[in-house]
Amino acid sequence: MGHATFEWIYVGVVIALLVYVGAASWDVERHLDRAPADAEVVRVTAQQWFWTFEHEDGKKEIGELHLTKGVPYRFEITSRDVNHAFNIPDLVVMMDAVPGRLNSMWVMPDVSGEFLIQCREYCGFSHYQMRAKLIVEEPAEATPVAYDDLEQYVPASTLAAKNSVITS
Amino acid sequence: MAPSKFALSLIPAILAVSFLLTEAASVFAQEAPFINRVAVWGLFYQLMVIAFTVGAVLMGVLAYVVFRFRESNPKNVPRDQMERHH
Repeated sequence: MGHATFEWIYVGVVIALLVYVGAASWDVERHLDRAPADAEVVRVTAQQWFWTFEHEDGKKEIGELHLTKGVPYRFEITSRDVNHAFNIPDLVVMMDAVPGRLNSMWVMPDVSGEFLIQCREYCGFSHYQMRAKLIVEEPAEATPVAYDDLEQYVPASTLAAKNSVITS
Repeated sequence: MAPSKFALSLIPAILAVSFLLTEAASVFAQEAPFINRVAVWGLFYQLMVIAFTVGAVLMGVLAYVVFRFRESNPKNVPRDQMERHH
């Protein structure tokens, strides 16, 4: 065998690896794009500078999101003012929150505990404070809580800033 | 230099095998629930292994070529009369 044979083998192996990379990525994307039919819908609304979550049964949460381990959830993500990005680093979730647009992403938490929710798109003065807490509970102890009083969970400075920006 | 038939036949063979392996992997994986965290990090590690392996092979080939065809290599003698005059 001459040099050319080895070169063609090398070219073939690299092409095969690239094809494998493309196919594997496509396969993961395919799963990420299709939420299970029984996924519970959680409407995620971003606004300067906090998160609001609305469950299928109408219960709302602000600054905290209670989910149940092992249950698939589909997030419908939107924004009320500027562009934000809904990010749960520990669960590898990230999706833009864009005004007038409903972006979708799904996840099935497989571990219980408390996780960080944060904004991953610079959205203004208090962007760095735009965080929320994700609480994933074991199925037996899951008790979604509704929070109606904004003031208890959102800093006063954020509320004041929000009221000056949000008109709707 | 034209590639041999053997070398050319390797490419579709490798492509076919890699397609089959990917399909087989996705078929067997359907039974397990899809966990974003596991799938995305798994893909990341796979791509890193492939990228660094190809990169290492490429760097090795470059190092070999530089070493083998350096001017001071005794094997690197001019092949024809004209080259000796330069």
